[in-house]
Order: sequence, then structure tokens, then C-alpha cells
Amino acid sequence: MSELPLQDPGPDPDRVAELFAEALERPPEERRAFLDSRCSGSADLRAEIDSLIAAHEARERAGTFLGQIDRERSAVLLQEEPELEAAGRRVGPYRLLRELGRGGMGVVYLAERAEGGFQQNVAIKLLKRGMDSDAILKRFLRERQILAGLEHLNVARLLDGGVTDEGQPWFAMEHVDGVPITEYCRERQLDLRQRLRLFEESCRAVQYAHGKLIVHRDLKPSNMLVTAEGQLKLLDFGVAKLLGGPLAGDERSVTLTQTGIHPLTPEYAAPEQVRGEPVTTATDIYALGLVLYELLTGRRPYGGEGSSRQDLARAACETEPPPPSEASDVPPRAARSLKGDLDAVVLKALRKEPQRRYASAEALARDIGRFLAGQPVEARPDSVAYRAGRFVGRHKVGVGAVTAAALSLLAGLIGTSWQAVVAARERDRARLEAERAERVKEFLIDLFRASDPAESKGREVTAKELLERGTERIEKELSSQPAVQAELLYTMGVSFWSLGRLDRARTVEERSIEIARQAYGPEHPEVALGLDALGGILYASGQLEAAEETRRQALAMRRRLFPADSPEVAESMANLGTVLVRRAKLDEAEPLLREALEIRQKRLGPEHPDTARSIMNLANVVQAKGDYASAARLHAQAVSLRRKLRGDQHPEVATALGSLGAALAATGDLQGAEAAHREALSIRRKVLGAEHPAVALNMLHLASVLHLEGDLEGAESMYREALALDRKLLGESHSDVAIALTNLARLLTDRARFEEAMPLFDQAVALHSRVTGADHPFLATTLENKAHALIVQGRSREALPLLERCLVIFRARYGPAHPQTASALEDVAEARADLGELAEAEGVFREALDLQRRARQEPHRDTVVTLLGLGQVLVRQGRAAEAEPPLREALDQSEKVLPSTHWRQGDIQSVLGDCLRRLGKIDEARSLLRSGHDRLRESLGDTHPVTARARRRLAELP
Amino acid sequence: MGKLMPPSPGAAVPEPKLRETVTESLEPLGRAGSVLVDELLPLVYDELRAMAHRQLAGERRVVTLDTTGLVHEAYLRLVDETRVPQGNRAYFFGAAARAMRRVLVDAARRRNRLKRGGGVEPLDLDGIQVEADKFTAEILDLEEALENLARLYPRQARVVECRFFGGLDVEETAAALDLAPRTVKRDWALARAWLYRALLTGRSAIE
Repeated sequence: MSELPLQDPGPDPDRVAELFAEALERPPEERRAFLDSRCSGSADLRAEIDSLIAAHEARERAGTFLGQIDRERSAVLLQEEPELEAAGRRVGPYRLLRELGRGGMGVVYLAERAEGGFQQNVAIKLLKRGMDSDAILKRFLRERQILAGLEHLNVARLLDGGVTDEGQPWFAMEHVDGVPITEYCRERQLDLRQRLRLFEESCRAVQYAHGKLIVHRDLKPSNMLVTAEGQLKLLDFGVAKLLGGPLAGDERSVTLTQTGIHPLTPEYAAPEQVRGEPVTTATDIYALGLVLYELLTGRRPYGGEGSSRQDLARAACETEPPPPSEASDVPPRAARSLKGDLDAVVLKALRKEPQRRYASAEALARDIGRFLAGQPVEARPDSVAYRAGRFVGRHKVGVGAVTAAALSLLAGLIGTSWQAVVAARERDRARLEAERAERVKEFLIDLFRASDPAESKGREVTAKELLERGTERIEKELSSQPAVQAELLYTMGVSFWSLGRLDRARTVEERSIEIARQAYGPEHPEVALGLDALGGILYASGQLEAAEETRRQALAMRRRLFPADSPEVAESMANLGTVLVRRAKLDEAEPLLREALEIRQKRLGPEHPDTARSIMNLANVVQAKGDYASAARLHAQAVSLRRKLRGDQHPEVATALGSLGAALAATGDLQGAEAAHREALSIRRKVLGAEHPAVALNMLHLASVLHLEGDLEGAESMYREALALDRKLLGESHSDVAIALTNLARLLTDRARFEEAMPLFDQAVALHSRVTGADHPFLATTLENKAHALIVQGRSREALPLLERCLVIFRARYGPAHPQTASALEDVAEARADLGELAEAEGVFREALDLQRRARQEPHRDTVVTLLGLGQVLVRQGRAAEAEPPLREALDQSEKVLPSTHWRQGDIQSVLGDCLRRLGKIDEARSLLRSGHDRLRESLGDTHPVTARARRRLAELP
Repeated sequence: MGKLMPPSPGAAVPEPKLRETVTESLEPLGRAGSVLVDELLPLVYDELRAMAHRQLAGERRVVTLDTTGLVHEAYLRLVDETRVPQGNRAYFFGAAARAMRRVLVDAARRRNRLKRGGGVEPLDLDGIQVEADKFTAEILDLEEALENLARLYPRQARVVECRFFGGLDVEETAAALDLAPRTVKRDWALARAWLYRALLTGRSAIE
């Protein structure tokens, strides 16, 4: 796993093509010399061209190759697909009953649900062969959640979809037994008010879908059915979108179908559709205007029977529709009720320029409501001046528009309608996204303008102020644009997180998710994105259980929305895995993290920021499992990759360095660890400022390395600084606070300040039990350190139950052979020795030593401690001769892994000296006892119990 | 003696990460033929199907046209019905070639899938099935090689699409792709050599 091979790019294709062509233009006998002169120094390039020329010659000798496709053979290939008998055929869980209609894109059948034991009639749309079934299916899988979220009494639901065994995509829709709205009004002879009410209802249903960012694109009476009971149903919402356009992330379909002209029903086409311009919600409003026109006058504004498509298209773009009251065949009495307000409403909906129509279907519905209530409507007729201006503008459009219109006509003719579903382009979506991006940009520019001295009155505006102000404005000003609002709040939430303002980050992110859910429905990529971020914020705030739960939700959602090997799924797997590592659920975390890394390497490449992140994630789990050396190697790899990708002064480089430092400290390389932590701290202070949780964590790491190096004073002050910062930024309920408390308490224990240490241990135990979990290794480590403090104070009876609990946790989470388990065993041995159970203690020391030697590379400071303990217990049993080798080894190893000033070295010298004294090796004993005592006085002070013991040993010299 | 607590095992610091927005690029309207592919697809498909039916109905070998004929025929018919403006002839050809490629590849893939699925083999009276199997394999091999080619030489791959699938001549290809005829010739030579080499190492080459 440590290797990340780079792909060999091979010779430059442009160069190959150029030289190949030039070589072929020369006579064969000159080619070699030509290539010799042009390819010198590039063996790759030369070999590729030689190979291609050889292939070219072989191809010429062989005769035809890629001549022309035989039309007959092509036809044979396609004839293998007889139309299957429809009736009785199974499609997914449905059985087809009879055909309802057919068109250019396929056939619509009435079908019944054949499974599940209940009767349900549906309309099945079976796409014809030759459509790009894979792309349509992928699009369907991506959109289905959104479409399933369209739950409105007046919107026919998309129920299901899939691919038949023969590879044909199908969709199941709610079957509506009704007639087109125009026909219904005519047959039932509804009066004006009844018609308007029905129309108002249609507008509200359209508004509902627009609120979910779904544009219909092909509204017309045959898609607006009314049942015998008078129930209005809009058909095929969102379906048009499924049938065309590129799929993000699918290169093949992007290159094949970049963009398109919309095949459309010419009678109901809006000018922008005819021109091949982007389709938006305003397009649906235009279509509603046409339907209203027809409901009021019995006819459409343009084109009588037999109008050609060109006529219709031209009329849509150029002809001003006559006001409904002036439409032909409208009886004078009806005309009077239309004149004025209703004329204005219809014409406003039918304006050529999308932005001059009603801003929303809701606004159109409101004007209808006002009319029904006898209030003045908002729509006003165009002024004469405006109309004149429009006339000039229209004639400036010129040739480009003519060509576009011609192309769209072609498209309109080829795409035939299909129970009124016409292929739409992904363009709706792209357009909406482009609009959204544009608004986001404008908003941010506007926001940053506030840091302009002119506006902030010379005072420098902090990032935090900017975010606060932005968040407030997003809430206030963008409520009518939920998609923009959700995205901006997401960004604000993550920014608060980056600044370490976790409380704000959390509320803002939660709000963003809430809005995204309202805008897109419960399951959507945007919702999953928000959940993942929220999970990270919860993690950073120390609420690990909630973080795990949230990230599990995000992963499950993304697995439903994206392919299994997509970068999105990998992202969520990595994120969940990270939380699981922190929660010490290593067996579940590791496969997730490995798979995420594999996907990222494959899909994003070996040199992608996410790949670097994945390497770190994996290193973390390897490290938690106790393989510190491999972890350090992986971390080093992540550090150099991030340096390359991000530059040296980037917070992500600092994170990687911090992780590397922790791994190095665990391997015993304290110097390397200190250097890594110091560099990380300097980057973070520079980039994140002094008050940031990452700075506090960094100090905690660095302090612990100082502690291990024996710099107790330096470590104490840095622990205290980190603890204060953690408390200030993270509050009292964060595991980082408990860790800082534990380490500070341990430090105080080492300095024999037990009265200060014990309450801190108790605080840490309480905090870990509450926040981190009662069976978490963090708690176990705190318990172990507290036990150690008790042993040192001669209270080993109290220590043993704590160690027992600690061992249970370590064995359960890490297994018996983990360095942490070995370390806890060593403490048990200390306690036994303290209680005078020397034989028992000896056995446990030996067991711990054995485990350590298997789990860790030596020399290591933990081994030093165990060897020392074993030596002491042997001396106390009167077996000084047996004690000498382990004690000598302890001294030897400690000289390699600890600085010469470390108090531990003094302790070992003293104990070894005592052992040698007993063996009669007085000279060496004296020198060791003296030097040990001196070193302890220097590092721990005269009054420290360890120093005092060394003094007593010194006194026993003859 | 107990050990120090590692401040954060694995130092798994959660890192804020801003999303990188994926924006879908839209190709400007009217560029190359891709605009029309979707619209042409059902048409070309129908055309091929219709032809298959005519052949089955006994018109087999009455008129044997190559794909040049097919694309040109479709064009003529549409122009006749004034559906294609004259000026867009080149674009139309480019798009038709692409549609042709997709129809054939999709058909070959489906056929392959059905075969693997163990469908009942129809009786092969005059070798049509064997012929079709061979053609299926050829198309799929070519498609794979062509996709590989397109990764290194996208323009050259488009030339193959026009010339082979669309049956366009050098001039028509040049017009469809906005290239100089000389470039088309060079690209065609390179692509054929490249594909020949690629397919030679695999299975049969398309004759």
C-alpha cells in the first residue's frame, strides 16, 4: 500500500501525430534519416512512430481496413429485435395490459402491479431501443429521489423505473384516467369563474414543483388532465429531464450529447425554446399563459389549423398575441369580461422575454385570485414606448438567431411527442445550477464589498464578522431562493468550522440541511453533502456518537444516490471511517478506509488531495491498531503529497505533520516527533491564528513529546496553555479537554504533586465517561494513569480494580497483543510488586515484556520501563545476579531513546548501581549511584520521592 | 509505570473541507454535430430497422447500399421535407455519423448481452446469424479500440467516426469537423494505423 505508482504519460500525442504525418509524406527510404534527426533523445517517441509506421504498412498490404460499414450487415444486426407482444409482458413488478399511446421515444402502456398482492394500475412508459439507455437509467437513478419527493395532490407521481431484461429503460407513473383540461371545460361547459379556479389550481401545483427545482418544460392541455371526479392532475413532471442531456461525471455521454435543442410541441413552445435558449421556470409560466388563453377563448393565440411548424415557431418569437378579448370567435359578452384585467394577466404570462413574465407560477395564481376576488390585478399592459422599443430590438437579432431557430425546427420535427413527454435536456438543471452559481457569486462579492474601507469606515473587518453578517443576510434576503440559500449556508457552516467556531458552524449547517431538504426533498446530493459536513463539525465538537450517526446517514444516502465506486461514496466512507477510528471501532473502520483509498486512487488519481487525505485516514487506523512504524511511513507519504499539492504553508500540511508527529512519538522517535509538531504549530499559528482548536490540539501533542523527553517544566506550561485554550474554544464537554487533563495530571504525578494530580484525574474520568464512552480506550488510558499515580503513592490496592477495567477495555478494542494492553499489564505488575507479591509481579512483568517485544520495535521507552520494573522485583527477591542483565539492557535502551537529561535515566542508574552494590561491584556501583542521584536532583528536585529513594540507595554504599 | 496518553490516537483531526463545485460545461450551440445526435438517433435507428424489415420481406440484396448511402439518403429525405436547412448539411453529417455509431454499438452490446443471457438461438438458414455474430464482435472490438484512441487522439477518433460510421468522404468529414481536408487525410492515416495495430493484437479486424 505504500507505493503510489505514477502513470507513465507516454510520448506526446500531438508530437507523434505530427512526425508520423511528416514521415509518411517522405519516400520510405528517407523516413529513417528524417526520424533520426527529429526524434533524437526521445526513444519513446521514436519507438511509437516506428510502430505506427509498421502498422500503417501492414495495413496497406492487408488491403481494406475500416473501409465502409456494410449497410446490409448493419441491418441484420438490428433485425434481431422483434417487437415483443405487449399484453401480459412483465416489466419490473408490473404486467402490461394494453397500449395507451406511442410516440418517437417509446410506447405508453396501461399496466397493473403484479407483485405485492394488491391491485394498482399504472402507466408504463417503455423507451424504444436506440435511446441511450445507460445514460437515461443513470439519470433516473439520480433523479428518482427528487421525483419521488414530488408529493402533491395535483401532480401525478413517478412511481418506479428500471431496465427490462432486454435493456429497455422504463418508468412507471401514476395512471390518470382523465381528459385534457381544455376538453373538460368545454364538455362540462364550465363558466369563467370555474375555469379560472381550475387554472389557479394548476398554477399552484406548478409552483410546488418549481419549489423543488423541477421545471416541467412541456406543459400543455394533454399533460393537464381532469378526472371524472373533477380532480386536476399534472402529468410527467420531471420526466422530460430524464430523457436527454449529459450526465455529470459521465464523460462518454458528455462528449456524445453536449447540449441540444429541445424537441418540443410547437403549439406550446415558448420563444426561448424555439430559439434553443435555456429553459427555466419562466418557460412553464409561458405555457400556463397559453393554456389560460385557450381556456378563456377556446383557441390558441397563434396558428390556425394546418399552420406549419415554421409558422408556429416564427409566431412564437415574433408575433404579439392578440389580447384574449380580441380573439376571433369570442362572443361580445365574454369579451367584455376578459377586457382589461384578464387580458393583462394573459399577456404578461405570454411575454417574449422570460424575465418580463410573472416571476413565479405563484404570482400568476395570485393575480387570478385577485381577479376572482374583485381586486385589481398586478399585471399592467405594455406601454406603447416599450412595444416600439421591442420592435427595434427584434430586428437587431440577425443571422445567428435565424440559424438557431432553423436548427430547433429540425429538432422539433424529429422528436415526436410521446404521451406528451418530449425529450428535455439536462440543460434545465445546468441552467438552474449556473444561475445558482451566479447568485452565489454575486452575493459573496456583495458581502466582501463590506470589507471595503469605504463601507466599513476604515476598520478592518474580521472573517468572523463577515461570516456572521453573511449568514444573517442569507437568512433574510434569500428565502425565496432556497437552493441558493442552502448552498451559501453550507459554505458559511464549513467556514465557521474552518475558523474553529464550532457552535456557530453546527447551527448554520443544520439550517442549511433543513433548507436543502425543503428545496430538494429528503434525499438529495446536497442534503448528503450537508450531513457529511455536519458529521465533521460534531466530530470536531467531540460529540462522537452523534457524528457517527450523522455520517452513517450521509453514507447510506450517497450509496443510494451515487454509484458504489464514485468519489462521493468514497468521501462518505472515509468520513465515517475517521469517526469510527476515533470511536475505536477499528475493525469496521479499516475496510471502509481502505476501500475509500482504492476508489480515490482509481477515480481521482494518486496525486489528488482526497487521495492524500485517504492515505492519512488509513495511517490513522494502522496507528490505532498499534503498527506505529507503518503508520509513520504512511503519514510521511501524506505529508510530502500534501506539500506538493498545497504548498508548505497550508493547514492540511499541518494536519498531516501533526499526525506524523504522533506516529513518530509512538515509535519512540521523539526528536522527529518534536520537529514535526513544531512545524505544524508554526503553520497553524500563522494560518489559523492563535485561537483555534487545531492550535490547542497541536500544543497538546507537542507538550506530550516534551513530557516524554523529560522536559517536565516546559511540558507543564504547554499543557496548561492547551487546556485553557481547549476550554475556551470547545467548552467542558470535549474529549480533547479530558485528554489534556489526563496528561497534565500524569505530569503532576511525575513531579510528585499528587494532591494537584488526583482531582484532575477524576475530572478526566468523569468527562471521558460522559463524552467519549465508558468502554473507550481513552477512558482506559486515563484509568491506567490514575492507577499509576495511586501505585506511586503506595495505594496499589485501589489501583488494581482500575487496571482490571482498563485491561478489559484494551483487550476488547485492541486485542491482547497491542502495545497499550502490554503497557497496562506492566502497571499491574508494578502494583503487585508494590503489594509485595513479588513472584506474581515477576510473572506479569515477563508477560508484558514478551508482548512489548512482539508488538514494538526496540529500543523503546516502554520496554525500558518494563525492564526496570522486572530488575527491581528480582533485586527485591534477592536475585541481584538475575537482575543485572535486564537492568543493563534498560540503561542501554534508555540511552538510545531518551535524552541524557531525562530523569528516568537517573532512576535506572540508581537502581542498577544498587544491584551492582549487592553483587559486590562497588566501584561501578558507586559511580552509577552518584550519577543517578545527581541527575534526579537536577531533573526532579531534592524532595521528589524518586530522588529520595536514590539518596537512600547511595547511603547504603559501604 | 503507566504510559502517557497519546493526545489523540491517530491524531484524526477532522478537517473542514469545502466542496469543489462540479459545473457542467455546455458546448456552444451549433458547434460540430453533437447538437443533433440525440434528435437523429431515433431517426437513424428507425431507418435501419425499416431496412431490416424490408430485407426480411424479401427485398434482400435487391439494393445493396453502403452507409454512405444511408446517411445521404436520410439527408436528402429531410431536405426534401425542408427539415434541414441547406447550410447545415455538414453538421448534419457529423451528427448522423455519431448517431450511426451509437445505434450500431448499442445494438451490438444488446445482442451480446442477450447471447450471454442464453436466449434461444433462431434457426440459421442462410448464415445470417453467423454473419451477425461476427459483425457484432467486430463492432464491439472497434468501439473499444476507438474509445482508447479517443483518449490520446480525440480529433482523429472523430475522423474515424465520420469516415467509417458515417461513410463520409474526406471533404464532407472536413466540413463536418471544421478541419482542413489535408488534416483529415493525415488523421485518417494515423487513426487507421493505430487501430490496425490495436485490433491486430486483439481479434479480427474490420474489413
